[in-house]
Amino acid sequence: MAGLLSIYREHIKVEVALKMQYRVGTLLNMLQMAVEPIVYLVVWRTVAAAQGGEVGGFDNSELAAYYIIFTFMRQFVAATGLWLFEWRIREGQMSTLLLRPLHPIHADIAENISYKVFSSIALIPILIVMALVFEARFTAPWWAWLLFIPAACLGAAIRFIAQYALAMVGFWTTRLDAIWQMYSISQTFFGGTLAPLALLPVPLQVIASLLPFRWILAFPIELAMGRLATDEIIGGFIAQLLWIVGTTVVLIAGWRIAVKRYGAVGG
Amino acid sequence: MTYVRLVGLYFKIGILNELQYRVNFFVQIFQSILSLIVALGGLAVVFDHTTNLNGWTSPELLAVVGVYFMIGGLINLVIQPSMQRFMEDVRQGTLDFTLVKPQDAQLLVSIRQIQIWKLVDVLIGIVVLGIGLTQVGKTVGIEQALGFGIALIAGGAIVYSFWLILATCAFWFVRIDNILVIFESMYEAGRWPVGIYPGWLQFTLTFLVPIAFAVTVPAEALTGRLTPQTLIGALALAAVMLTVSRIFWRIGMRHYSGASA
Repeated sequence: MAGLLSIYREHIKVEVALKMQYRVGTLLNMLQMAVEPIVYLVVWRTVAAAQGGEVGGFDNSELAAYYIIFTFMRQFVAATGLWLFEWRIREGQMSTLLLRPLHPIHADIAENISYKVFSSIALIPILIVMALVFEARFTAPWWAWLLFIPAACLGAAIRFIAQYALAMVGFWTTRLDAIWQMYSISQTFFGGTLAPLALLPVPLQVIASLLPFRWILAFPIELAMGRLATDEIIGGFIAQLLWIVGTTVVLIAGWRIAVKRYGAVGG
Repeated sequence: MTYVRLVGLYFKIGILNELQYRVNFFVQIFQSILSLIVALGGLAVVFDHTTNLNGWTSPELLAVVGVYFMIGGLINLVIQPSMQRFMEDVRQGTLDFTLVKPQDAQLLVSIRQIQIWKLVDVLIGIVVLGIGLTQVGKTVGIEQALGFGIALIAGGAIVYSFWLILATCAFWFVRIDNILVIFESMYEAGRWPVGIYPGWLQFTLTFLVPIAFAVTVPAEALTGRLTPQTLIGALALAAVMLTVSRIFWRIGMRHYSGASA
């Protein structure tokens, strides 16, 4: 265990040093990450204005708060890109990774953690500007913000494990971009990008509860908005834990079959 | 006349080149359908809560989505791939091969790469625009159609000049991919009429990243919102941008010294 921890420490050290080279690039990247939420924020504010200042219980400053937390969360849950797996499999890079005495997931987790820390810092000035420009108001009590921390981390964990499990498909198909596009469109609808889930028609809300996207993104955001009752909070954490168990089982089983399937290409 | 023939020739080569990759056609259809679902889903959810968005009704916004797809398709058909290739050529020094050809180099780099399958987006755009306009119910008169055509050409010229200016920066800064990515994500903002955005953002979307003229203004023409002043403004801006980008291109060219090749 101590050995594993020191491996993580070294990996993170290296990754942070690597990322420090791309400071401006990261900032521009984060700026781009804020564009889509800002567009939807403006659209919903326009709707609220047409409806007498409020839509589905969200007024202007609450909509701003929602999309600011959303911008943070979407970046915070981002996991190892499927394009990277595609590249590894197509170019035969997977061979090197598999030869190492440690499962490649550890290096990826370490990379992901350093990415999260690095990009969160780059995002802070952007979020502050957003909050000032759109006059966001954060009204949740302190304990909701406290619970937001584990909820956000669990959401990030589900996303990471689920994405790793999805990447296993690449061992058969080599290409993963169609899967990624399906994933990202589902997140747009069911993760709360298009609108806070409360604004979706009821059938879509029901589907959202059955899919992981709500528990990855929308649940932590709603928690930090202070909009959830106690039983909804408990139910949310249970759903998150169930998804972690479920995706982990799929990942472990999938990895075993997939690695046997792997035949290096190129390299 | 030579120019027209040249453009036709390059298009033919581009099409033949892309026809080798027929699976890409289905990949493109898949992608286009997904982005259409997001666009229409967004409209449906929004109009579930209201009957108009800053004065635009739902069928009118459908028309905006149509124009958005058309223009986006045209950009990705020829402007974006050609400019990307041009920047790659500057980086690799292979621009030399273009420069030695006895024709205007700006024209050559602007039409050199064609992603023919992006025509799917243009077609989807036309269909969506048609459906939107039928639902609006008002007949589109000659005046509106003419305004739409002029606004479309002016918008196209503005977007082209904008891309050319950005791409020309490659003569000085070798990598500007990040800025292009921001432009592409900002283009998403054009799916909605720019009038809904707060003042500073409207300014950005009109003059810094000129999406307003590319999507909103043509859509305004079709829905009878366009004032003659806006149209004249669009034409004037198009003329200015074309001139400025041409001058900037010339300055950039003088700066080019070939690399590694």
